[in-house]
Amino acid sequence: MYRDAGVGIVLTLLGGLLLWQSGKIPTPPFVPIGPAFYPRIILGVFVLLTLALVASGLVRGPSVRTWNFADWLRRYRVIILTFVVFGLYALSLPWLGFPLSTFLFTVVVQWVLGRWGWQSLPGVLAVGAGTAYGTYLVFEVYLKLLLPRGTLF
Amino acid sequence: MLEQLLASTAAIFDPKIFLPMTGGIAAGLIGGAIPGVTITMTIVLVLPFTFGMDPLQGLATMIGVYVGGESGGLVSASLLGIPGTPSAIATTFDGFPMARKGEPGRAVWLGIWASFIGGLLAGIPLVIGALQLAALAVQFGPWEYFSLFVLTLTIVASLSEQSLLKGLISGVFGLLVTVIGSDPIMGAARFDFGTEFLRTGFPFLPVLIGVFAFSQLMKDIEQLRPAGSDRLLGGKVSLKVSHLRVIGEILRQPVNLIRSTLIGLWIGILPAVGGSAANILAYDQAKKASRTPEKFGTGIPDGIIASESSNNANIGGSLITMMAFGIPGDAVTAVMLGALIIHGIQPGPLFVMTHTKVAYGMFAAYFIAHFVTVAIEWIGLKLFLRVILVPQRTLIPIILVLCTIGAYALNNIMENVWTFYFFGIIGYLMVKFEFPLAPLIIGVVLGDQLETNLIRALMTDDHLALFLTRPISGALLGLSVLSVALTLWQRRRRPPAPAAADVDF
Repeated sequence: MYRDAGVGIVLTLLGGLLLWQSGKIPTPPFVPIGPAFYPRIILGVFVLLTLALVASGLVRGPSVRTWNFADWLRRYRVIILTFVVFGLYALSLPWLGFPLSTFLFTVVVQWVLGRWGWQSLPGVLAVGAGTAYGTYLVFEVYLKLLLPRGTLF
Repeated sequence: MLEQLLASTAAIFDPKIFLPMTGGIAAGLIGGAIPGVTITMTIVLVLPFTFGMDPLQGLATMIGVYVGGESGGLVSASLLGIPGTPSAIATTFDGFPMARKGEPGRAVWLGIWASFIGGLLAGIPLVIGALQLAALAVQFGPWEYFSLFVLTLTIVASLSEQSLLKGLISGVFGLLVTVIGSDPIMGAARFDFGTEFLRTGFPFLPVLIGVFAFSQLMKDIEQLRPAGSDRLLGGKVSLKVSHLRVIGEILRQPVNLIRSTLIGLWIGILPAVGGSAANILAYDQAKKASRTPEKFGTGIPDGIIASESSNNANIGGSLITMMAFGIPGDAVTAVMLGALIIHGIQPGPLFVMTHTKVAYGMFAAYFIAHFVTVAIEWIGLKLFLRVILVPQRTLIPIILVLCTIGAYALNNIMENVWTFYFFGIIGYLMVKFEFPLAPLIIGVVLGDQLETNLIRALMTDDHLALFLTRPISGALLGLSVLSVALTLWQRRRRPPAPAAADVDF
């Protein structure tokens, strides 16, 4: 798989898209240097560098000969799950509020990371409750920082 | 200067500042000692606690975390054989063998006292250097600032372990992040794609927390150690030692001590290159200069002294760059810069001139934090040993929650949490595709200033040649070209690196 060349192509496309979008930035009249001036320079440099990455990636050759999706998924399953669970946590914060969302999040992530089984359940729940309500007490009650409120709870 | 420093020292002992600073040191010691929890992560976790503090309280607390963290990393390096922080990697080489030979107390305390002495030695150039360089930088015009920021970016890209090309792409990508949202001169919306979320741009701290903390945690998950796998050399460890003897051992190596301190200081001054490079370089130089290089790695004090004195001296260097130019010396000082901005203080050379009390307070906090660190370790080392064995499976969700609080509480908006999440994914992908993270952060920190100074320079005089013909600006740009050329030349001479073992794309 031509990894660097592939990444270079994706980044070049991103730079190209933004360069095209930079044409839509309104430039006020009578202003010698408009707001699109600097982004275009940066985007120009970015596209040149990413094209160089494509070229060097092609010259270097493939990084791995074979790629197996099942192996890849097995290796990154926990990482992907953690990202997904965090995304759900962020989504739930405005609905469930900080303490409940955080409790559920810490319990689920511990489970995802391998703390399962009846024996570890009390510890998992205690860490969840301690994190959720401990941080709530310290930050919201003691330090007077505002934490996300829930519309449901 | 000395009078102001003494007055600031007295101010730091005010319980209002001293207690949070001591708490910061304890947090740093614990965070630094836990493998997988870096000092950057610890300072990010402490950040929300500082929101309600006044600037000096907050910065003293962060300096406490920084100093404590550098010292904490050596504990797990020596007793577990796993560096608590990347800046204690070289400490493992001799600290762990010494501990295994039955001298854990000597290994740990050699590190603690070398950290202490190296840190204090670096404090003198910190005070003098920050003030002198700030006085010089005040005379800079927009041309010089622009060229200085370009030099910073090229140095960071050149010094990254991965390819120069990827370092440059990472830095320019960081600059791109800052062009999203309103422009710093006229406030015109750019690349917002019609969304309110992008109109305000990406705030710097959630980006930094995501890129460094989130991606680091994901790397930790990849390498989760089985529960109970960390053992302190078979259980009970006695750390009793004759402190006079240990200090004597360090002072009997003045050349090693001073060389390593200077290496740490210099690496710290270089933007975005932290203690992780300093300790390895200092160790390598100590080995090369030694008459008995073959003994390195077998548990001799020379290696521990080199590594630990350099990583604490690195703090002094990082603070010089941050205080004099407003450029972060590493990720930790990048968070400090963010904290300054939260408190309404504009980082840069004028900071030292206009906020003299805060600046001198930071110097004083730096010195005092070293003494308090040793005192806390003296009293509570055994307690920290228990804490560092907390399983990662328990720590990771707690750290993610604290990072979320840090991102959210900046402006009390969920957009910051999404920014943290989004840049966590980007940071992790960058790690997997071997792009260095430091240039990205430097790009994000300097992006707006780079643009502002470029536009200011061109509006003052539209002759581009001025960037080259003004002596300081021309010299800085010349150094930028030189740093890139030198890196290309060095890498061409080096044999090609073998393919990474865990490449799976």
